[in-house]
Amino acid sequence: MLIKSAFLKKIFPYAGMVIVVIVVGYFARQNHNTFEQNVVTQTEHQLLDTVRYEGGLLNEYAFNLTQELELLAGEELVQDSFSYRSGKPAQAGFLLLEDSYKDVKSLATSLTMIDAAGRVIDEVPVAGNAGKDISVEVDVAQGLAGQRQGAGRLVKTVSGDLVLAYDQPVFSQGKFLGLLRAVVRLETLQAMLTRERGGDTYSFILDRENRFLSYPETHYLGENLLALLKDNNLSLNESRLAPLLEKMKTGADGYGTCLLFPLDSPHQAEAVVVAFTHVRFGAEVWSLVHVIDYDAVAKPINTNARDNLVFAVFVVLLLCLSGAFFLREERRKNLELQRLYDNLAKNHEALRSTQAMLIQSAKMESVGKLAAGVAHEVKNPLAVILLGVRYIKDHIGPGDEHVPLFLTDIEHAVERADTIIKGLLDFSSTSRVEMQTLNIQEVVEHSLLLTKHLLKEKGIRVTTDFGKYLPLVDVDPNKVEQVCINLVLNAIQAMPSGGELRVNTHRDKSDDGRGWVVVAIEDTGTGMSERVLNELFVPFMTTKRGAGGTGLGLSIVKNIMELHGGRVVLKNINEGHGVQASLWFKI
Amino acid sequence: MEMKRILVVDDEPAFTRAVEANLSGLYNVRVENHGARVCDVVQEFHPDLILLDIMMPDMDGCAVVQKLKEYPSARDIPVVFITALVGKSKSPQKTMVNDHPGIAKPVTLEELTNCIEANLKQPAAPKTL
Repeated sequence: MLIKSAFLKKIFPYAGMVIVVIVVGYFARQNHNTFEQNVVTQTEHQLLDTVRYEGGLLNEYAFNLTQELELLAGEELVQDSFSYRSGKPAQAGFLLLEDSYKDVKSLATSLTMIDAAGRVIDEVPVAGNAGKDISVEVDVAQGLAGQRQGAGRLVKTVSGDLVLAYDQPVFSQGKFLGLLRAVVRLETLQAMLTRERGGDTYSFILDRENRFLSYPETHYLGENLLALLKDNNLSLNESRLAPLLEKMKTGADGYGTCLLFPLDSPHQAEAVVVAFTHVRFGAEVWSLVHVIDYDAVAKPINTNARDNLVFAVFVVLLLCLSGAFFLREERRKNLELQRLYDNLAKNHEALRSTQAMLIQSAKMESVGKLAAGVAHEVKNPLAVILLGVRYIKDHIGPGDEHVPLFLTDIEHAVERADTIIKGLLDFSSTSRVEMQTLNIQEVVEHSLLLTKHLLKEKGIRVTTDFGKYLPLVDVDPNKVEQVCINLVLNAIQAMPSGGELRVNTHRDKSDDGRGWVVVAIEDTGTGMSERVLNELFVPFMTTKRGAGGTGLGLSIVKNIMELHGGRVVLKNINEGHGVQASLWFKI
Repeated sequence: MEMKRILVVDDEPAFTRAVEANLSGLYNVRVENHGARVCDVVQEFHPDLILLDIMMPDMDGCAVVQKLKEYPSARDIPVVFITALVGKSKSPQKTMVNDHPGIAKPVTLEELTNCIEANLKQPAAPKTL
């Protein structure tokens, strides 16, 4: 659980940063989309307004022209001219008088009178075709056959220009006399429309057959839009024009985005925004389409996108920097906390150790006082017994042979009691330690020197292995020497017929991670039983009572080690063929 | 030759009795069980050596030594502390209590006599004219 929460705590800032990046990215994207939508919609509405305005102009123009032609066709003179002159060559400028023509002149390029048989009766301003039979011309034949107002017929002039022919049938008393044909140059239409040559905005007119009736450049005039797409390998769906064309056919206004060929690159389709409206020319209904290059629309969108990106990057950077700063601060605080905690733990440990030593010391002091009191009170009677027995031995007469033996036993018993009291005094005299900082090897070597003759006497070989570069430790050299000598004496007693005493010093670590300097003293004796191992440090517990052991040696060792804040560990080694005593001194 | 006079001071009558019984053939022994009376006894007995206990109820051994110093005749009498307070040293002669030799109870007769002999004031060499 701890590991988990620590892990979560560690990844939390990074996860936070990722979430912030995602959120900022999401809002930047949302903002961008909304902005784009707004800009496109705004543009489309503006385009629709423009196209409607232009459509209005065109409608007005078409209305005026058809109106004028209708009026002209209704004039008696004109009707008479058809009646009388039909089938006869007309006189130039005679029939279509300047007065009658003047209202149409500003609207149409030329005006032609064609009788019911297809002959040109008169033509203004230049009567080049007067008397000529043009009934074979498809458009003329259609016009004569239809006998109705008609426009949108694209006609190629003698000079090869494409013009728009508008026919006004002339009737007199229900009899069809012929056609009044107004010719309108396509440029006239185009002149009324927005045209920015080489610019991003332009307009064109499509008839019901999707032919360009006007276009800023002449190369598409009369061309079919669908054929154009096909020629450039662009399908209707691909161009996204299909729904727009469908809508145009219904005569509705509308807008949308699609692919079209720009003015400066007639074969490379580009995205455009279009708006369209319908224009009526007599019975014809056309579509006026206004176009704007999508890039021009996208310019503010791109600028906005860039601004968004810059802002988002700035925000993310700012947050990341703040996060990094926060993390650094947090880490610094944690380190500081850790350091304080370590110091506290160290001080606590030192206090605990000192307290333990003080308690041990106080305990030993009270034991010492008690032991001194007991020693005094016991030694006096022992002294009386010893000297009393001696007097009796010296003055006893011959008699019972057992009496001298018992007296000797009493002397031995007194000596033994005295030894125990001495041990008790030793045991209790460990309450005060005088610490020095030194290399433990010096103390161990001195102890071995002091016991050298005993070891030699028992035929015990000594091998040492002192660790190099061991840290110095705080010890009372005299007390630790007493400890080492006690352990060496124990080892000697465990090897009555000789053996090997192995002494080594090294550095070790306890389970809590604490560092220690360890002195290990090993013998090659007979080891110890489980029971003995369990009672080693119990005062007066000895396996050598017969040999004068008081059972206080290891208790003294334990006390001294505890006064040093250390410990002593005894265990069997080599499968019970020896004992290892290790002294642990804290670093 | 006149036996050396030994004054044994200890609050334990049994002990002084045992010492007296053991040493009486070897020395002229006088025992005293009260520290406060030592000075009077010294004035009267003129011991060659005093075996002095330390812990006594009326006056301890150290105070007795201090008081003896006030008497010119007693000032130079060797004092051996015999006490239960010190451990038994391997070399009894080296056990010292307040600059005076000491011997620890319980003590054997041999240890006691060795210590007395070692600390008895040697007679001064005769002066030559």
